[in-house]
Amino acid sequence: MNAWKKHGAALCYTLPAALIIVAFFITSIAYTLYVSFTDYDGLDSPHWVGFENYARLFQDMTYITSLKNTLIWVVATLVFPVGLGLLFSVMLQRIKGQRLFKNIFYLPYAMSLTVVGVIWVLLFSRTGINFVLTQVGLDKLALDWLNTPPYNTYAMIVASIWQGTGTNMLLFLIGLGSLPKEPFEAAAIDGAGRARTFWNITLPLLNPITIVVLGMSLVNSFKIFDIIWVMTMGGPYRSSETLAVTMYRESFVIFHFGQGAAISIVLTVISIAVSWFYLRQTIVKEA
Amino acid sequence: MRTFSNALLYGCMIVLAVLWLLPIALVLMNAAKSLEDFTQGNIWALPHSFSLFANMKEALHMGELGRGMLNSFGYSFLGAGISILLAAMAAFGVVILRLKGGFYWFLLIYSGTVFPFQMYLVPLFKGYQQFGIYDTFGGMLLFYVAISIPFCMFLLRNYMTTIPFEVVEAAQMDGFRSFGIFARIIFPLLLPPVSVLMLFQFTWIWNDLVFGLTLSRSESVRPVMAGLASMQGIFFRSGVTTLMAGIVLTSIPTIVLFFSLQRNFIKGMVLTVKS
Repeated sequence: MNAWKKHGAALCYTLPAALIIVAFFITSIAYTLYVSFTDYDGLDSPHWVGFENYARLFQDMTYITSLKNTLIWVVATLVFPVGLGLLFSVMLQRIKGQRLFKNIFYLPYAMSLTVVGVIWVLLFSRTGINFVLTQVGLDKLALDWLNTPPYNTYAMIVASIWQGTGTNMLLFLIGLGSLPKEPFEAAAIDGAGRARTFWNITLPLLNPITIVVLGMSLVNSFKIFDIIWVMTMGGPYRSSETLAVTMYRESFVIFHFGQGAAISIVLTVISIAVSWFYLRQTIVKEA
Repeated sequence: MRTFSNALLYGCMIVLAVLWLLPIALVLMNAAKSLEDFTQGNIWALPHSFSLFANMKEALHMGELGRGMLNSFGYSFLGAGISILLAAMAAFGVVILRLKGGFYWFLLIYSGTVFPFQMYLVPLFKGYQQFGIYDTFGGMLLFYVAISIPFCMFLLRNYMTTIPFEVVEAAQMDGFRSFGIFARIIFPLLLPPVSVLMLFQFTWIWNDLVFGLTLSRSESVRPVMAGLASMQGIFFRSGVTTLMAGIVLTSIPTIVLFFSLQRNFIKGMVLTVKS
């Protein structure tokens, strides 16, 4: 009796949060899974169509472009914001006035992706970077950035690099600050140069934090939406969509709920598979 | 040789810092110009006038950003506060009261962050219409509470496991009931992670775009970023100065939070990374 009472009390505390999660998210997942096998358009009742929505993803050029763009975003996010973050942190480590520089690079991260998108729309407009390019006589380089595929995707990646490098830099700085001193002293005594010290000592010691930074960037890069929605809305002619944007357009612009649901399932499967594979690899490596 | 490479390093850092600041400088410059000043020059020209406050006022009224900001303050404060409370209670049940199968309850609640948000958009949109909470303040708030719970639960559970159990036993000896232990003993101890979560969730909710677009439509409910995104379409051609002033306005809360509480952010990151 007493045990039950105790258990009941514990349940009273945990249940509200659990119920909200089930009501909002667990049921949503089940519903999305179901809708992805139907032709639901929000008006007529849904008909079962099997894997039709999924098959279309790998036939229609629109979706293949979207898949390709997602891949470009993922690779670029893993290379640039992470690589630059590491580079900045290493450079900053040996500099006076580190705080000032740190804050400058971190500043864009304190703004929302929506705001960042609006700023870079201005920069990539006729009056932005192109104005400077024409002034210095480089007219040929002055493209209509956001309307010319594939440059529109690259342009938006630049905006996201500007925003995201700061956090990675901060995480690397925390990592660098907590490294042991002895290996570096030993390397200095052995007369190892800066480059060799970096490759052979700093990077391996930094591995745990690198894994975290890469993992976080990876997971986020699959879901990129805000910047694209603000800067191009996935256009022109759906040339700069990623899976997240395609999903939104299918569902809420042209009301192909079934197709949109199938895309979100594919997105989920890809991102969970990749994170799982990545986690397993790193765990095996660590062990 | 050494000084040369140091000078080179400084040079590189300064060039990079200028590049990084340039977009923000452009926003400030153009937010300060009067429309006349702006149309005579270009976005790179220095302002000859100062109408930052006039532009901000216009953004608040004409762009309806004022209402959006007010809504988002409500969503962010209340959403973060309520979700922290609910998550703290859930973690209390699992960790301190040792709920049977507690780990599975934790996994259930935490699972909310595992899936990409795209999974939730259509069902929530449909569900909200069905239950009549689409495009309502309460509906938006409820969603922000729900989406914040998993991460709060994650951090608070981890933090609670570090609280020595003797603290709880001592309180039981003193005759505290479970609610007394929660409210008087445990919750005050949670201050460090709670302050971190308050920051994280406030900024997350403030910056959210996609759920604001999906679950609301009218100006009186719309959160700030959804408002800004729609303002962009209208103002980009005719009112760049107003748009830039809008950017300044909507960024002030998060920038102030980030830099005044930078230490907490770093602490929060370390906390998250460690777990």
